[in-house]
Amino acid sequence: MAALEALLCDRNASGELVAPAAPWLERVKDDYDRSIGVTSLQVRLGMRVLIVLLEWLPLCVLGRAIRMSRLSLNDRVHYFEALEGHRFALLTMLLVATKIPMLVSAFESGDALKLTGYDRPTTSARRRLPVARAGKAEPAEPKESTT
Amino acid sequence: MKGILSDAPIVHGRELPHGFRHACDVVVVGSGASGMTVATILAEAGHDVLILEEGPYHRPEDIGRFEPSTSLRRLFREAGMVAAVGVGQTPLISLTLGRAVGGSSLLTGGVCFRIPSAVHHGWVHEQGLHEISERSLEAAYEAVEKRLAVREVPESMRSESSNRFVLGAERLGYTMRSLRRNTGDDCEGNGRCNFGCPAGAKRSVDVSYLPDFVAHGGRVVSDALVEQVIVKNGRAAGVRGRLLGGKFGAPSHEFEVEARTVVVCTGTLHTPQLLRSIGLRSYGLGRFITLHPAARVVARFPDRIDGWNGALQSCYSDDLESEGILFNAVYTAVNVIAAGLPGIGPALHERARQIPNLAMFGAMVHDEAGGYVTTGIGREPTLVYEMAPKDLLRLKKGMRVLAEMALEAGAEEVVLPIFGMPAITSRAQALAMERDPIDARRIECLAFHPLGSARMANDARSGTVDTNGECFDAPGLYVADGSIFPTSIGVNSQVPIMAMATRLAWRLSERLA
Repeated sequence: MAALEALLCDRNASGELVAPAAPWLERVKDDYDRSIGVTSLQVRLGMRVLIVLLEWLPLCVLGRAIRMSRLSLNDRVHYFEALEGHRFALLTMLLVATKIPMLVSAFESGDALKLTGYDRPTTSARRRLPVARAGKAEPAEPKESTT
Repeated sequence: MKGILSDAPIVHGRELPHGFRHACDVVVVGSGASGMTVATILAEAGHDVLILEEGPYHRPEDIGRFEPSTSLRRLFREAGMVAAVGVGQTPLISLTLGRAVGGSSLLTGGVCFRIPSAVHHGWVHEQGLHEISERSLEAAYEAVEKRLAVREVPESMRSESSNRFVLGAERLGYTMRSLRRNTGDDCEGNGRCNFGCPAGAKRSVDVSYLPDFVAHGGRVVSDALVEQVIVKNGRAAGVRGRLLGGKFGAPSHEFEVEARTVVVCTGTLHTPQLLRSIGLRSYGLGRFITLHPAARVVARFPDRIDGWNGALQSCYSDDLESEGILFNAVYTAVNVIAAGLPGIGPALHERARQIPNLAMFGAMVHDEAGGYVTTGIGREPTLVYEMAPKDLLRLKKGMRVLAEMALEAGAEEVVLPIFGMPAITSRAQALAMERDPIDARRIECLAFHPLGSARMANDARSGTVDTNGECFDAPGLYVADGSIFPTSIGVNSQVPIMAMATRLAWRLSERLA
């Protein structure tokens, strides 16, 4: 949860970091848990190891003997940014391998989907296509189907 | 054990109250592109065929309504989290594998290629596999393509994301051609084929073959994990396994199917496991796996292009085919794009807001065999892959060319799938990326076409199956999936796999008759 909070936080109008809304965070966490729940023992163990490493690596990356989940939101963001651009590729790989599965559902619906600029109501909605007028030679009005 | 306690042609194994014992002519393990093809052809020829599929069954109309994360959980193996264990200078490679009735055909972008002539030439002239020459597969290709309603994607269906790269390619002298896809004339350009088609246009095998299979008396049991091939008197005589998805903590129900012919179609990573279950140790079994590693390059343009409107994959360039690089138009669901963008917190939000301005294209490498599968901690196999240095150079060249195309078309910046690398804004930077040494583990790759873990050969000293797909060391046991490909093919593999499976099924049908 602490990791998700940092990955999804944003700045407010005055430039301060703000944690994502709790319902959004809960939904993303639940989705991630459900996804992990359908995987094999191998993947579950692998993800667990990644999370444990993420939790304890501030010692190596920030030089501070503190767990990731105890860092302030600012420091957590700083920590993940340091991991993402770290000169040791394995540390970067560790972050990315955790981040992508965690965030797959984050921008899938609601306001987060709108933020991506996607112009359909849901990610499973069909594209709005112009409907051609039967038997008319002139260009069709850009009438839109509602499928 | 009793028989299958259901008369339905498609049985949800998880709903069965007990295991079963069943007898039939042919049992096909796996219901993906190859399994469904073999099973349908044999059923149409009058044979009694049962398909056993480890994954669940979902109706096509339901799949089209799944959100991407739901598709990942219900249709993708490991919820989309399969990755190769890289050795040495090997990128992080994620694999897309299906696990449902329809297999990976549910998850493709619908791209339909035939095996390039040069690959066939190598099979025939270097490996002596005259029976899988280009000409010998012609009739099979035609049969498959007719059933899949393969059509060329009209230019009007190209997304603006693809168009930008086409523009850049033209300016740089590369030729882009229209892809052929299995969507008939029904594609609406919803741009999310790999998570299920909302318009029901994509003719994955659950749409194109399953209805005919069922109409000819074939049956499918989903949620049925085959764990062992039964051998009697030195011949394959059936399979046994257990039903999945029952109540948590309850013992799983076992099943056993007797059949004089067993066809394994569980895919390149899982087929070796099943063959090893009877002690097969053929040459190359589980080894020499190729993946077609691919890199997706993302470019940001100054204007809004809404890349999700249009066919997910519409055009390609094979200008660098001789160098082992194929460029393919790609796109995916916006939430999946957002999850993969660089940045943490506010930086990620900023990138996500730019998605309407993003275009993307992929570069796929015709790789040399660098992988093998081994038994993992649980029941899933572990894929270990070592990328050949030559393939790494190809991958970098592919990314460089795509970056140049995007910049030539007016992109403001190009994000390469290289962790920690800032976006590039000039061709000089793209060239520098290609020339400078990079820790390959920083590169993020995708792979969709694992091939070659139970290779076809003329004799047992050089492969696992003969040119009819029958295991050298286990009569009656056939393999018809991508694992039998003697080499990588350099193009999307669904239609080639189905054509090979068709040819094998025709031959098998003659034998069984």
